[in-house]
Amino acid sequence: MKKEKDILDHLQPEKIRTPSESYFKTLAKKVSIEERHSAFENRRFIKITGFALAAAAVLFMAFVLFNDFSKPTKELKVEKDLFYDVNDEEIYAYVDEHIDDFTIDELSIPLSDETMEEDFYFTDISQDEIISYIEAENIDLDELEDELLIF
Amino acid sequence: MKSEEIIWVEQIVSGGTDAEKAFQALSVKYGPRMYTQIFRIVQNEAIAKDVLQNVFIKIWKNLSSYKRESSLYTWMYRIAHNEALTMLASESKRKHLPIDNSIIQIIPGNQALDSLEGEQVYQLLREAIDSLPEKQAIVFELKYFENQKYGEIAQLTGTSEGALKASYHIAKQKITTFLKAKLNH
Repeated sequence: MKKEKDILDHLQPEKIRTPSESYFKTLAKKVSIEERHSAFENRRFIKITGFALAAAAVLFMAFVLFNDFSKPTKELKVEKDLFYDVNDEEIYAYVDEHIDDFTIDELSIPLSDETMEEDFYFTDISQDEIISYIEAENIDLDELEDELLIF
Repeated sequence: MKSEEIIWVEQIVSGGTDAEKAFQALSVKYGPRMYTQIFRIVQNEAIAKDVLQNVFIKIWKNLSSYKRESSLYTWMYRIAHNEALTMLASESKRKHLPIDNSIIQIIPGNQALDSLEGEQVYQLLREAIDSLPEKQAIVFELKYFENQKYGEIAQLTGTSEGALKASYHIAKQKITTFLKAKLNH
């Protein structure tokens, strides 16, 4: 009895032409050389990166160990620089006009001993004038005594 | 005694002076089979060569992680198959791929096939092969397309001839059922 043909028997695979043996040899050689070179480059990159990281770590440690963190920061300098073109009279006038906007802390911090000696004795103002000013402004004398120690 | 391919693997992994020669020997032995396997997926000579180069690079780089749980050919077949599918997907997105030559011809006499082009039927056949388990797909490709003897396939895959015959029979049945179902709709 004749066997019925399968659907696959009606399909004939075509022969695929393959490249020559030398093609595969050359390709293998090319791949092995390129990959060895790339592996070498990778190792070198890792080495260089390692050295760079170690150097960065040493510099960082040196910065931490030798830097004087007690010095004022750059921020203060910037703050100072902001008012470089404003003269003292303008600053005093502004503070005088807006005195209520400042706290006693804010007013007392800039008053170093030197400033106190030079500018803060009110040599040209009599004591009576000062007292009448304090009374007129309702200033708490006890508070002033604690904060500024000017009396 | 160690087989020659195990010796090649060890030489390539050790990276010594023999690595390059061993890799060449491995490529000459398996390169043509992998090329035809790749070509049947991408159907374009230039792309098949590009894929083969990528496959060789992956084999060179990853041979040290080859665990010998499957035969070396099965391991390389897997790499080639995945690489070809990846390339096909990315190339198809870019442009319409030209087909260099057809993989199958239709022999007249089957009603369902006679009205179709060889390429249309091959795409269905490819779909059917890709749905098979790996071992069945390997046996089918080597037996059906390349007409290799069971003894040779047994050596390549590290499987007994009896098991291969059974695998081929099952693969053919599955593919026939798949094709009939697709062609009758």
